[in-house]
Amino acid sequence: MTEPVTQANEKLIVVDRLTLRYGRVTAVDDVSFDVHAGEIVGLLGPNGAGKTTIMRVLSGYLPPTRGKVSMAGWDVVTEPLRARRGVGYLPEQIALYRDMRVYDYLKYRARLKGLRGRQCRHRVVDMLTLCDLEPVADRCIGVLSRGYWQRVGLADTLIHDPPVLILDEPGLGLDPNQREQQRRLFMESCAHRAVLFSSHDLAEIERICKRVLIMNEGRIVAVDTPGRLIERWRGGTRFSAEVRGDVSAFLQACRQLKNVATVSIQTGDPWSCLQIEADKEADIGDQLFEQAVRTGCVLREFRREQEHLDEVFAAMTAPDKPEVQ
Amino acid sequence: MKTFLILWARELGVFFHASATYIMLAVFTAMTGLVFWKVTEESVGVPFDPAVLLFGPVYFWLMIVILTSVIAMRLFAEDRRTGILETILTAPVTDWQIVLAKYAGAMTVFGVACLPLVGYPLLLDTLRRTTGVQDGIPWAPLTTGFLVLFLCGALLNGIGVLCAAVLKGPVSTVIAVFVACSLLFVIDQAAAVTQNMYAAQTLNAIALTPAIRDFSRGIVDTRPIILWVSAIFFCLFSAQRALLLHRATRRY
Repeated sequence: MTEPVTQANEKLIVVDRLTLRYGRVTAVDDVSFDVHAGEIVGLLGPNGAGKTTIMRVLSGYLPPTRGKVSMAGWDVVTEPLRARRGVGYLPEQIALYRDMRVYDYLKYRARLKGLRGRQCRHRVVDMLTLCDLEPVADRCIGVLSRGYWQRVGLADTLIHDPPVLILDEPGLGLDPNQREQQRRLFMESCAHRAVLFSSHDLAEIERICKRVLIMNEGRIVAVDTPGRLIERWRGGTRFSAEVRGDVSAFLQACRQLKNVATVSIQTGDPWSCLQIEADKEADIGDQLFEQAVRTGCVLREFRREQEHLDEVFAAMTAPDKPEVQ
Repeated sequence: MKTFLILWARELGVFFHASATYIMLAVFTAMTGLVFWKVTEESVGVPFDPAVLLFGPVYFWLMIVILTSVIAMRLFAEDRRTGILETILTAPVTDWQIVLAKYAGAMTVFGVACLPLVGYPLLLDTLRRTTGVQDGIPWAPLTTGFLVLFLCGALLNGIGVLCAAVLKGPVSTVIAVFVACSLLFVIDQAAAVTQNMYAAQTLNAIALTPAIRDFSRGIVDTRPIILWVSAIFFCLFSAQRALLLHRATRRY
């Protein structure tokens, strides 16, 4: 059997009606999605939603109860070794041999993943360079910091140059500088791979992922780009303004504007805060300015409220959430 | 095969990096040496048979049971606790390779622990020569004695791998291996009190003590060898199935 050739835009992760049960508990329920080469997909969901279980099935650690999963063209049930060879998996809790030196550990992992001789040595050196591990290459893993553990884990994930990466909360326990460094590393190394990325850091997901899958209670409740999800979820455009002067006249003028859905006020002395919600995609910013000037109000602050993925996430994973596919 | 060798080498690395392994080896050597010395001292005046002196005492086999129990303790429990098992099981390796590497690692440590035992009859032979004793060392029963030690070790380590794969904690593994292996040494006592002839024969066949007695006298019986090899295969097969079950039933 020959190795499947990875082509641009090829589906490298294919999950078809995946179900996984632990006894009577259904951890993953009829989930289907795919990830193409060159695509970074974020997997979101509250704790216990089934994200880690899905990742464990994709990595070949857990067998699916039902459904079909193929990684880099290989079925994880019928061709488990070939499928695992095509996957780099970084688990949530990185486990390393504390007694080994970084270089020896990476060499051991490379050999376990089928690399031999010169190729093995070259890949280890490449990974030490890529993950900035050269200064600690001869040190025991047990004495390294959490940040270095993550880097060793990532080097291990990438060492056999897999077309598919499964990263389960890779930024866990890292400080902001280390996260930024790790993010750069991902962007450099993920260009031609299919990446499934799980994190609770929604801002990071919004920044690096092309597409987002939101899971809740074992099911996918939303799939789209972060931008489109926000757009779709947003009820209307929200503006907030801080004004002083004849606030009641300004309030009245705002209410009479076309496309304004609701206006609420929080009166203060001397500054009052107004929340104006317009109909979807209606741009009424210039009209609000005009009304403030016309009613003689002094405007201290005026801004269009920017919505983020976390609001969509909270709404999608709430107990009475809607389904958006 | 290469993957198995890589896993085996790592297993040995884990064993021999731990100071507890060296303490275990030192205690085992000291205890077996002490037992051999005491038994040799007490056997002055009786016909000289180093194989019986070495492999006869019940305390010697108690040391072997304790050794295999302690070896089994580290096999899977540590990997489960640290999460290394997930890292190994997601690499392109088969469950069989993992189980066989664990077993080979356990057997290697067992072999290293038993290596000093070879020195005891050699020491006796040296003493015999220096003191001018005419009776030579009967090497044939000693050879079959070491053969039975190897086979028993292989069986007990097989039980150890099975218990380690099935049970989660190191303490429960040690207790289970110790109880299971000890039972194999005393089960022939039950044969003496049972009324049923077939049950008595079965218990005698399963028990290790009669076979050890025969082997250390130079009698090689192939029946226990076949039984033990089959039991080892059963233990390793069950351990592999236990790993599969561990994957399928683990809750997160």
